[in-house]
Amino acid sequence: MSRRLEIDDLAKSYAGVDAIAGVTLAVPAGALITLLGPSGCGKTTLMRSIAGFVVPDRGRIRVDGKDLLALPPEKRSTAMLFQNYSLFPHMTVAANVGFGLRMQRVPRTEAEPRIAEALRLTRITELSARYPAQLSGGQQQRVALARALVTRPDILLLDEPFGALDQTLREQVQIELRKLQQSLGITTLVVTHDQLEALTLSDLIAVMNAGRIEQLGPPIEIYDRPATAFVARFMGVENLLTAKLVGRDGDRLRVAVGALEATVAPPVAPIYQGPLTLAARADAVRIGAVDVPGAVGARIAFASNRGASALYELATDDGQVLQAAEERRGGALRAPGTRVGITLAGESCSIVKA
Amino acid sequence: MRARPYLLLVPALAALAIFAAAFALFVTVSFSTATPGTVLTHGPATLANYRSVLASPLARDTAITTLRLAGLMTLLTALLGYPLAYVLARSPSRLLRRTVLFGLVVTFLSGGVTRAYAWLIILGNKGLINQTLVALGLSPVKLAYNETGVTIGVVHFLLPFFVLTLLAALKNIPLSLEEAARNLGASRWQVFIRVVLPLSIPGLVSAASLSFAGALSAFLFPELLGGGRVHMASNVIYETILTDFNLPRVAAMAALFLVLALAALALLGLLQRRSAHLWAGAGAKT
Repeated sequence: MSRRLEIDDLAKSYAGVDAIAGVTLAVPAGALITLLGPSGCGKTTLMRSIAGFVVPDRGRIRVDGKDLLALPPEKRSTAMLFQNYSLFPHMTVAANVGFGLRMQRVPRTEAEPRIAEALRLTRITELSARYPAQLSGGQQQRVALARALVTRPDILLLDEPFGALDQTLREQVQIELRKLQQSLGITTLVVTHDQLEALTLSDLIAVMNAGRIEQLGPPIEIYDRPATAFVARFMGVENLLTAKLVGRDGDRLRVAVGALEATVAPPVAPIYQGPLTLAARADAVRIGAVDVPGAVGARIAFASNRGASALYELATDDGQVLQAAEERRGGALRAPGTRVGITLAGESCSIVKA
Repeated sequence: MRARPYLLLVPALAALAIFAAAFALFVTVSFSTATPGTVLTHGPATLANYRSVLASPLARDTAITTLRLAGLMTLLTALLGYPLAYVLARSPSRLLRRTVLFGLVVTFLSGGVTRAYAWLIILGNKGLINQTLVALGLSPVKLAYNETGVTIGVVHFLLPFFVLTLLAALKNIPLSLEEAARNLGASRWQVFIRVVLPLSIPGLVSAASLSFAGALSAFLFPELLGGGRVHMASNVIYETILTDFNLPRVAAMAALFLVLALAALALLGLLQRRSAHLWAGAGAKT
């Protein structure tokens, strides 16, 4: 039942400004892909092109090899979960969920068990006679999901699906949705600007910027090995440092950031010229004693508590400012002004395209 | 100190009091008897005027004609106005939206008498339409000095009120609801029938009530485009004053028409509250 989604060189511009500038993307059958990016990066335009609400200027969208763009929105087997849920206020929950089946002229005898099944899957059976205005945000979201799933779409489209939910509920619903999506095997595309959400849900993440896909890969790869400075920043990498290539160690590169040296894996995308940018998460900057060999002297400029760890702002002796995270292990925070020695853990750094 | 805010109501209350006094006066007159040969009236209070009006075939026919024409005009206004309001609310073409809005606003701004005569130039027996028909070798049709002409004039007059009232209601329906419906397999027509139309019913009833009230009280267009053959309430009242010179009886007639109009509007108001309750109110009671 799972379908493959292929997008080929899709482009759309509004008044000469590119919303999507040639996006090519293949989503394996049954996978969940997240389009991750800031507002205006084109992720919503891309999703709306698949649903049929945006007519692209060029390119193709295919589901299992069949062209989607020739069809009007109502003939596409895509189901979209709208950001504000867009439940029909004049219909009960059951009527909302049954709407798609009614439009497809599914006979009542078949529709009723399917509605009941969708309500059961989303655990809202007891709400079926209520109206949307009588539901909480979380309940409305379930209704919207049931309404989308009941038509057994080839492609499920989720537009910022958890934006309106509070943090605790959000995490719970994310995991629930992921389980449901995996068990049903529906090829799913999620649009979000929340990197944590993308990491939690996805088989694949496409990080988008200015109408293009900056990097496409599994969540762990995107997190550990960002290809560009944009991706690194978006994935929360605290330190983006200008580095110099000083040597090679097998296929690994030895780079220097001021007086700090590290051995890192080669970049995801080859970089042929110019200074290198090193993306170093705060936990790649290790804090130790001043006299550790190879360590660079630094002073703690600011300390903040992150719960299990502490985040320090460090001013190095060679004039750089770095963010460093350190497990607290039940201890107190290091006091600002303390002198320390720092090293860079190369395995937690990546060379990225500036 | 606490009375202060209420002081601000004084001008409004004074204006209302004058209106109310005028109504009270004319209702009082309706219970009196005319002094022949004068505009004066005298007591004692009597129901004779009401009996006389209720017994007169003219008043009954006028009531029926007025309700029938006002109903027809409202229906036609709704049929023409709904698409216009929908275009104004949803059309992606700014040019189209502006053109429609401009047409409606021009109607608003041009005077009634001007428009009535403009319609006569178009609809008259030797008007634009009939000249065209004759030039094409067809026989002319009677479009003015009858109910057709009056209906056209009044519908044109009502259209902006209807469209602008409904527009506000249509704009309140989120576009994403229409997209959600299409996404679930509804054609454009089904989206309209299943989503837009039901959600617009409270606004539609408001707009129709306003149009109905306007049609019931129409005077100018029946007078100028009716050619004395179309008897709607206001015109009959006006003509009766001039012919009978019996103020108490005319006052009784006016009072009865007023009650009839208020009853009809109350019914529409009830419908509006019921329909509004059905959608929005469905959520209010948890």
